[in-house]
Amino acid sequence: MVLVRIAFVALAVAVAAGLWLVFRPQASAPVASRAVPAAPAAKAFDFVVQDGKRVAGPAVLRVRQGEQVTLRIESNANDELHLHGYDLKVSIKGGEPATLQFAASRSGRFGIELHKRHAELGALEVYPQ
Amino acid sequence: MKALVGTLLLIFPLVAAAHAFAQTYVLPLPFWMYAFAASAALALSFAVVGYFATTKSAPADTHPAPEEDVRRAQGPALGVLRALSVAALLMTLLTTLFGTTNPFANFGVTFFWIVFVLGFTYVVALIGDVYAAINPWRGLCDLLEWCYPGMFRARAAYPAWLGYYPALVLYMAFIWIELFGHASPRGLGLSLLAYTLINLGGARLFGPDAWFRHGEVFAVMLRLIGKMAPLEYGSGGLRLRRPFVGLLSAPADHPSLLLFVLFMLSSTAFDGVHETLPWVQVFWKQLYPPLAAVIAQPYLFFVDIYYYWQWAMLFLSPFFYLVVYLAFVWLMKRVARSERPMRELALEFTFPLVPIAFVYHVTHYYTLLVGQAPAMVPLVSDPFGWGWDLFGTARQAAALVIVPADWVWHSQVALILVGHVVSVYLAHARAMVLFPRARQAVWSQLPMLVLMVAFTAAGLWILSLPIAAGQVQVPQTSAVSTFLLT
Repeated sequence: MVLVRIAFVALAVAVAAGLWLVFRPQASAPVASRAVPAAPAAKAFDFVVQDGKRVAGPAVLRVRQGEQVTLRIESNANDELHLHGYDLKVSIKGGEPATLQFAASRSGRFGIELHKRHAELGALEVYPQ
Repeated sequence: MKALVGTLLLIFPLVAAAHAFAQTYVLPLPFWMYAFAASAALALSFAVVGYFATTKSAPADTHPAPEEDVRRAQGPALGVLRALSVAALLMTLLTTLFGTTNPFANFGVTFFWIVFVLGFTYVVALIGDVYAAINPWRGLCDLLEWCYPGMFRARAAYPAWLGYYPALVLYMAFIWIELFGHASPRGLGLSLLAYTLINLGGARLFGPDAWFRHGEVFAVMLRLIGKMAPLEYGSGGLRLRRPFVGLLSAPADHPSLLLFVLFMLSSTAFDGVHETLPWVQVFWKQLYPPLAAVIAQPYLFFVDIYYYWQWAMLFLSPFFYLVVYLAFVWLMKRVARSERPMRELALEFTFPLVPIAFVYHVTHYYTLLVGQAPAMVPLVSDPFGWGWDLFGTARQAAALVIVPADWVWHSQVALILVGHVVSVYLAHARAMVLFPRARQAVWSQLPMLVLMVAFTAAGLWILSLPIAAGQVQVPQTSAVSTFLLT
C-alpha cells in the first residue's frame, strides 16, 4: 500500500519533470518571452508629454534584467516622474528634457507615473535573465 | 469637458493592477509555462485516476470533531486572543475613520487588506479555523451580551431556505469594494462600520450561533479554508489529521454554499482577467462600436456603461461557473448511472473545489502580502499617521520586498498544480464512496476531471494574459481620446 503510494508520487514527479523538459525553451533562446529581442545591454526610451498625456514614446517598456535603462522625458508642464517598485523619482521642468538613468536590477512589471497628474505614463516590464 | 474628464480620472484612476490600494509587480506568465502547467495538470489528473484504480481505497475524515466545539472552547489563552481580536477591530475602525487619509500611512488599511484578509486567511489554511473561536464581531456580541443580558436572544428562527445567501451577498459586496471601491481609509472605515452593524443586527435577530454560521462572510470563508488544515480543534483538544481531508468530512449543506465556493473561484479569476488587455478590449473593441452606432450618447456615457458592465460580469461570474459545474455534474451522473439526485451530487462535489480556489487565490495575492506586510513595522508605531512613535519603529522605512518575476512564475505554477491534484484526489475519494462499484467511480470522474482541468487551465491562462495599460480605451477616431489616453 505504502509502496503503491510512493510509486505514484514518483510517477507524478517524473511526468511533471518530463513535461517541464519538453516545454522549457532551449537555453540559447530568450527564456522570458519572445517579445523581448536579444538586445544590447543598454536601452533608451524617449517620451514627449503634453498636458499630462503621452504623445510620443512606448506604452510598455520591455527590457531584460541587468540592462542599463535611460528614460528621457519632455513635458510642457512641471511634474514629477515616478518609477514604482524601484522608487525612483525625477522632477520635470516644463519645456526642459529630464533624464532618469538606472540599472534594471529587479524583474517584474512596474508602473511609470506622472505624480502630480496621478496619471500612468506607461509600464516598465523587466524580464528575468 | 476638460474638467469633466479630470473628475473622471479622479473617480476612475487609470493606474493598472491595483488591488484595494497597493500594487503588485507581477509579470504575465510566459506562454511556455502556461502550456507546461496545463499539460501537467491533465497528466497528473490521470495519475490520480490510476492511483485510485490501483488501490481501490478512499481516504476519509474518520472522526471529524463537531465544528461548534471550536467556538465553545475556553481557556486563558483564548480569552486573550478574543480580547486582542476585538481590540484589533476597534483599532481598525478608529484609524480608518479618524486617521490620515493617505491609505499607505493608515494602520487600518494595511491591517485589514493585507494582514487580515490575506495573511490571516493563509494562516487559517495551515492551522485550522481558529477564527471561529476569535471572531471579533462575535466577540463584540459577547461583550454587549455581558453588559446587556438578553440582547442577543434570537428573536426569529433562521429560515432554512436562506442558507448562506447573506454571506454570499456580503462577499460580493466585499469583492466589489476591493476591486472598484478605491477604498480610501474613510471609505473602508465606513464600510467596516456598516458591516459591524449588519453583524450585530443579524446576531440580534437570529441569535449569534445562526448568524455567524450563515451570514458573516469571513466566518463562512475561513471555515471552508480551515477544513484544509492538518489541525483540528475538538472537545478532546488539538487533533492532527491528514491535510485537506477535512473537506471530505461532510458535504456542503446548502446550494448557496456551492455558489459561495464558486464565487471564491470566479471572483479571483475576474480580478485577474478584468485588468488584462484581451478582456478590456472585449468591451472597447467588440461591444462599444455597435453600441455607439445605435445609442447617440457622448463617449463618457459609455465609460459609465463600461463600469456597470464590469460590475455585472463580477456578480454574474459565479452563476456562469454554476452552469458549467452543473453541466459536468449531470454528465457525471449519466456516466456513473447514479440514482442519486442532482442536488445531492452537486453538494457532494462542492468542497473538493476549495483547494483549486484557494491556491488560485494565493497565486494572485501572495506577492501583495509579501510586499506590503513589512509596512506594518512603521504603521504600528504611528497607526493614525499623526506623527506618533509608540514603539520607536515609526521612522523605520519598510523593507521593499519584490519577489523576482521568475520566482513568482515558478511558485504560481507549482501551487496551481498542487491545488489541482488535491482537488482531483478529493473528488475521486468522494466518488469512491458515492458510486460503490469501482468501474462506476473511475468513469464518473472523467467529467469531473475535465471540469477541474478546465478551471485550472482557465486560471493559468488568465495569469498569462498581457496587462492593459488602463481600463478605459478610446477608439483612435474619437475626439476625446487625447484627454483620456494618458
